[in-house]
Amino acid sequence: MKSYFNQKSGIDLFLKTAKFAFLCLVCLFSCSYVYASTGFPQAEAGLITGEVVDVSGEPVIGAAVKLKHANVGTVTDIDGKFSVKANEGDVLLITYVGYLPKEIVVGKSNTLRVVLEESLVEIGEVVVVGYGTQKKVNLTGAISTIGTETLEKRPVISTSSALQGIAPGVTVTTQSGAPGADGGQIKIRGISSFGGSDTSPLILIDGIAGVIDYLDPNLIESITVLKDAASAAIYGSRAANGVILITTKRADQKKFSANYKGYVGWQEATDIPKVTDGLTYMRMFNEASINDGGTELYSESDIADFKEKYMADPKNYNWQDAILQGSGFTHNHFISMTANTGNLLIRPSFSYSSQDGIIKNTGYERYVFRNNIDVELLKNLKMKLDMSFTNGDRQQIANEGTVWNYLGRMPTNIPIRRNGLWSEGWVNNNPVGFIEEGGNRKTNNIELIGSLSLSYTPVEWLNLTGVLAPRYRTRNTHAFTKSLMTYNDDGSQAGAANTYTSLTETAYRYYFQNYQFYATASKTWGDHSFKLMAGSSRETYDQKYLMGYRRDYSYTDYEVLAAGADNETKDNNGTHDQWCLISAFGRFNYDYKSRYLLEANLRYDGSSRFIKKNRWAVFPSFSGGWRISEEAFMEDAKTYIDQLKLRASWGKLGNQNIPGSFYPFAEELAIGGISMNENIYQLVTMNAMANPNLKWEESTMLDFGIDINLLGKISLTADWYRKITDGILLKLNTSQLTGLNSPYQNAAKVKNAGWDLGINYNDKFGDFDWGIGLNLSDVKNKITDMQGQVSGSLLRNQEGASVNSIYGYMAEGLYQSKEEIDAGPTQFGTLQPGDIKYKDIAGTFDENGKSIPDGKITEEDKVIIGSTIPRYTYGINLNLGWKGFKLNAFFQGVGRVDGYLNSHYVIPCVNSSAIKTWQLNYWREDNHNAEFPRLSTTSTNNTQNSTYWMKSAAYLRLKNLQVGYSLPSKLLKKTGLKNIYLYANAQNLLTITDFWKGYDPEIAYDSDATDGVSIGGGAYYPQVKVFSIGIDIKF
Amino acid sequence: MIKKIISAVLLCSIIFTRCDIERLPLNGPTAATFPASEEEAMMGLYAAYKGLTLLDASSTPLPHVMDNITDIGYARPGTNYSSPITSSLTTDNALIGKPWETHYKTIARCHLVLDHLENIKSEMTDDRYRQIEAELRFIRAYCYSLLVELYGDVPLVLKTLDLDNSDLPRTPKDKIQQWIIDEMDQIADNLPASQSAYGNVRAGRVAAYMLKARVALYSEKYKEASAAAHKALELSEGIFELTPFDKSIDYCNQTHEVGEPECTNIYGYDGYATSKEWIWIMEYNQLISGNTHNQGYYMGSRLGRGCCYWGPTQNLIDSFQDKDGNPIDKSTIYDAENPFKNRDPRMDMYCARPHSRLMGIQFEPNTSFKKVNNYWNVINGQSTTPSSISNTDATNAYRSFSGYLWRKHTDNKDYETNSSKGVSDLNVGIFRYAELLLLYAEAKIEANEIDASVYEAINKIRLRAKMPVLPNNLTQQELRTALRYERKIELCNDGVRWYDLRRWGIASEVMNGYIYLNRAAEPWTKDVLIGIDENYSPKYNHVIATKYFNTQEVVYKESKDKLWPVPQSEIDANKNLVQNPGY
Repeated sequence: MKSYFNQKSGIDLFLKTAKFAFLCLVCLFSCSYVYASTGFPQAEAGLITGEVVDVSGEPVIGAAVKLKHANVGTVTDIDGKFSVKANEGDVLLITYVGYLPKEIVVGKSNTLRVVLEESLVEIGEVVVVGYGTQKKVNLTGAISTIGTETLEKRPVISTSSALQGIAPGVTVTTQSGAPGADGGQIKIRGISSFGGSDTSPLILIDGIAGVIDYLDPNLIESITVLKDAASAAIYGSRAANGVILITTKRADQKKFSANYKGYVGWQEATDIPKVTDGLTYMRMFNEASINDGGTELYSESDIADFKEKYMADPKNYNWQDAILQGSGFTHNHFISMTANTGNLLIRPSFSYSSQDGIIKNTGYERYVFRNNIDVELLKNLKMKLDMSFTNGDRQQIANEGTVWNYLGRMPTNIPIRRNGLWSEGWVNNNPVGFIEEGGNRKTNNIELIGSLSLSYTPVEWLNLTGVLAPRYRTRNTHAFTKSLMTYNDDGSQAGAANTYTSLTETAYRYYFQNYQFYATASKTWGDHSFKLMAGSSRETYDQKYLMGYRRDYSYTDYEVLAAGADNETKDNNGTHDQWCLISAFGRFNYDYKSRYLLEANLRYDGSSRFIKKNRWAVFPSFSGGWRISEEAFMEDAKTYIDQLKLRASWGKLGNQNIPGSFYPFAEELAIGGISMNENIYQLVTMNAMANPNLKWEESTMLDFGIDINLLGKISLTADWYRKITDGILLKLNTSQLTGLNSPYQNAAKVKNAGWDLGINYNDKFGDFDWGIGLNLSDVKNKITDMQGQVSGSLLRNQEGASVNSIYGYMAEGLYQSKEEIDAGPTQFGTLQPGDIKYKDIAGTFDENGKSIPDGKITEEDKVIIGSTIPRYTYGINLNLGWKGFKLNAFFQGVGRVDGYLNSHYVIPCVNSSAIKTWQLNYWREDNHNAEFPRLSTTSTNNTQNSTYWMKSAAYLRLKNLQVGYSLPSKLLKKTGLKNIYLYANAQNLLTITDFWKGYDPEIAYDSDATDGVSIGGGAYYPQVKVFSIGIDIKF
Repeated sequence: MIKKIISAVLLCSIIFTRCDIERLPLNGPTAATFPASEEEAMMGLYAAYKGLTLLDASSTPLPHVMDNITDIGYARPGTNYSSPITSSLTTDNALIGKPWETHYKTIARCHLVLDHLENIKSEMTDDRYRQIEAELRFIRAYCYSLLVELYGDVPLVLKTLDLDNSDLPRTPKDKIQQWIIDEMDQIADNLPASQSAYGNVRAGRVAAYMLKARVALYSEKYKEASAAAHKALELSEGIFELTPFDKSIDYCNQTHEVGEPECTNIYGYDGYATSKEWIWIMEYNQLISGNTHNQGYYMGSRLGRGCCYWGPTQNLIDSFQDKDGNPIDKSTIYDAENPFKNRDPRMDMYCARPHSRLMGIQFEPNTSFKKVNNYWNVINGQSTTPSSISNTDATNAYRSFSGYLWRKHTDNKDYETNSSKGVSDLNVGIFRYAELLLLYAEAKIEANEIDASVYEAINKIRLRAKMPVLPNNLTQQELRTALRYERKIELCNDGVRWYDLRRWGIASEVMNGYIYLNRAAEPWTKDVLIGIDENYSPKYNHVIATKYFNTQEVVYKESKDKLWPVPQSEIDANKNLVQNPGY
């Protein structure tokens, strides 16, 4: 198995698995050929009776018993019994959903006992689709499903990060390990928009839009990812980025059961750049200053002075240790029960999560209550009443971004207290002081969801469902920033980074209302099955914002507004916004003999975000499937090919989640203030232009797929797709002569083309069971139209490039001599040997429009140098079980992506930062073959964005490793417990990457920078390794 | 049964979809009927004034940034401020994009009211109507007066533009300058002489004539310029005048032990509250969200809790006359060994140099000063002796890059808050009486209408600085030299030098070669200097000077650097716009 671990991209692994599968196929084909040719003499047809049972001896009811190569067959009765006419030598094929098919050659005896083995690959599964369910075998769209057992293996608090690497085509990027913000950005099949529109998928929790990370992963029964337009089109205007359907667990038929799960764990940073000491810092900054034509920054006596202080207590100068003082302790408890009283089924649950940060005074705490109730009011009238309450509290320190930036700062300064006073840190910012006394930032999110659904089945073929689901959410932030005075070594005040101790309280209140109504009719006539679903929905959103501010706190222990100065410095603000979305939708399914499948979807959406003329849009989709395995000519292969299906789909999707304004069509006036003679007067003006012509972004997607299940052990799904998004909302550079900020326009077009592949193999040998799962996907992303414009400088969008490309100069190594500089193009400032040389690409153009280098490096020489869109994203899941023991290893990674860091995060001697251990190999007269340019504090040349500072951010990560043991049931019998499972788990244990040492490769994929992480910067809360031990008790 | 079900389905669907889908903004009015009243027109006018405060660079109001890309000021090296002085400006530079954007934004704010003002004429008195209109047209004209200096020919937008008609071509600079002059002729008399009740944030007639004078002078219409300036001076009587420096002028030419020269009674918080020198200002107020800047932090010394982002050059320091009014190359009392003695007091009033006191603390960029005096104990009356603190102004890697710092436009009152970003609300003057005097004098000199009033205008400024008056009977050229000295010195760090270098045609001379900086604050010898020329630019013996000074190589190409480029995004967005030469 070790050899698999070393595969970086996972492609080879896929090839190996494919080869193996192919060999098996060939082998089995030849076997069956032998079978078929060894015929027995034909005899008179006799009546064969038999019994079909499963491995435990229980009868299998409803199994199909069929005479091969003849249209004769029956099904087993309530006792698993059957009788069929057959002759000696005939072959009986016995099939049943969820079990491996079995062939029996009729022998002399006319009674048979057939034992069916359970299939390890569930093909009879029913999956949740938009406004209903569908048998997996009958799916015609590209859908991935994730079951509860996959999620349960990973003790994480944020459900989004649990999705990383699990499903093909679903890319999750986790940039931060901060408690309460360690969720991932989910992208389904590339990025189909830029310029501000939401690119995250629509998340529906039991059919209602929701926030994925407010849900405890333990509550989830299944997750369905609708990847192609055919599956997602039923969600129309919000489905362009794919749809994730989450179904929560409900009570089952058991009378009573309960479950407790808990774990405790410890976190530590995955990686932090290693730094050198203050003496190295002084020496190198002196060298840099002299290189720049200046004088030494630190004299011999300064250095001697520092050396003395440093030697006295080197620990005083270790910024990283001083900052990373948090316990990182985390613990999580989950309890749930199900009860069934006949027509009332309830499943209440409670979960509690607590996470302490790796810096002090930071952490996250979350409670989730949920109760799912099912009531059978009448035989044909069912009600679901679900209620959930989530409370999440995140605590940060007030200046957390600064603290991460300072992890590698000035090693000549003390970042702690000196003689009881906070030392000056760096420019009056003392990170340790900030952590301990700089104030705090608390974010509280409370969400209440109620969902009432009535389902009425007046006649067997018809179902009517109505859903009423209000959702109420508040988000309160409390930002208490203390003025923290810092002091020089002589005890004099050095200044405070914040002048005032201030408190800002903000309160957001969001209220969603959702009504749905839909009817489903299904009917089968002979070989023709029809299903029709039609419905409508209405969603409204109402958002209120309120802010209060006071400053100058005499009593800093009282963090409330009332304790602040009651004078003219107090401030408040508030806004109110709304939107409304009304939709009608329908789906039609048809299948013939379960062989030929057809599906059509239609959604008609109206959004308040657009003017009347553009308000309504239609989103259709069509898909078809051909289950080749059900064809007569495939009958011979039935024993090893459980399923073979080809799929094709086409559809249109929309994106109405435009940024900025809920009313982009309206010319809104802004109200502000102006001070004249110290009096404040109100003013009114218009800042942004409106665009009444705005429409939806529209994606058209084509998908071809294949599903194969073999031998009850192997399943394979592969898809190819092409998605073209048109009318992307973008703030095109409009002429500033208008004096107004550019409005959004439907201006750009993006193409995503790619494939995704998932393979699972599960097998058993005696007491051993093992499995391997692999998923791999790739997407090529390209902006095909931007009306000739470009946007962004380092992170660039332009025609022909992928969204969020990296833009800069082509570095051609370092200049080695004055002569070389003179011969090269004019660059930035006065060049010296050891400076970065850039490729002179453009200038004027020849008659063919080809550019001729002009001898100077200007903006025109910048090109697209890299892409931040991950390609070849993969996950590898390995399972091994023996008796009660279980081992699970989950690897995840990215095969190709570019990462970028600049400034002091990588460039030595820029911005007064400690020298990293790997920065010592810089250019000197005696070190021409250096990795880094000559030292300089002021060079504008070496800090230009270029390939020099770009690196591959591909990685392979051992995301999760779990070893567990289920106590033998014998031991538990007396206790009355059903099961106890103990485990030890490690997350993010190992990361293999070529990215800049000490930085996590995932920070590079900035697309929607959150929490201060943006491309080029390394000031982030690092991802964390989590070591935990846990228990799962079932009653 | 089935029929019932189907009708139930239909009914439910209708109930849902029938609902009103429309949602309109709830946070404020929309522009459809704006302005509907006098009150709304006033609020729109205030928005136009506020627009002027949006023009900044490095969170510092642009007028106090501009001199740091000339021969008299120097910024920390970096793309924004190094490229304008090394002929390497690119069309996507952030600095050059800002004035274009913000001036046109302010112009649009004027049009938002101006375009519809006539519709509500009946809502107000004629006088009020004329004044609102005049103020809006004044603000608009002022914006154009800066746009043409920075970019040359620019599109002359005279009404609200929408997406379909925003591709205006450029109008020649001289046509726009004439248009400004005509505008002022039409509106000036509709304004009150001054609007001191509004803190001179709103412009009065003096400001309108001063704008006319400045534009006429810059466009070499000297007679018109002197007439307009004369009118402005006349109207100023009893309203605007020079404010004498306070008694701290006595600390000039002395060391930190004696005291700190402060010019805050003109350029500081006190100055904006009491000085009559300010004709038109931009007011900042920290009680308004976003209405603050970081000027003090960017200009301040390290010990003054600032970041030394910019400061005067050696070239400026050497330009100050001796206190007898002679250039230092001709001075008998100037001593290169003690270069900060016996100088025009404005050197210390406006700049901070070694051995002086700045923000209450001894300023010493030289590393031999391990400790320096902190006088805040003394200032606060807590002690009679200063404390001694470590000298980070000499050790910090990002200490002053020129070895000097600006004192003008800083205020010791900001010391407590300097280290915090964006809390200073020190006002920024746009028009100052001293500049008006110099506009008048220059126009008269260039028109060769030299009379006593020219001497009087310049001497007023010199006397205020305790400098001797000009000798009598100077030639036009001698007066020109005297005038250029006063503009360079009196108006330093006010943001006019960049324009002066170009309109006097001396940019290619002073902005080519080297600018001299004394980052290490080392002493130098007299022979670094060859002489001071007729424009009061010091000329250096480069070989000797580089023994003591560090340098910044500067490049100026008349064919490129006379004007800034039009921002690339504008060229991209407007097919009728042609780029300036050289870009």
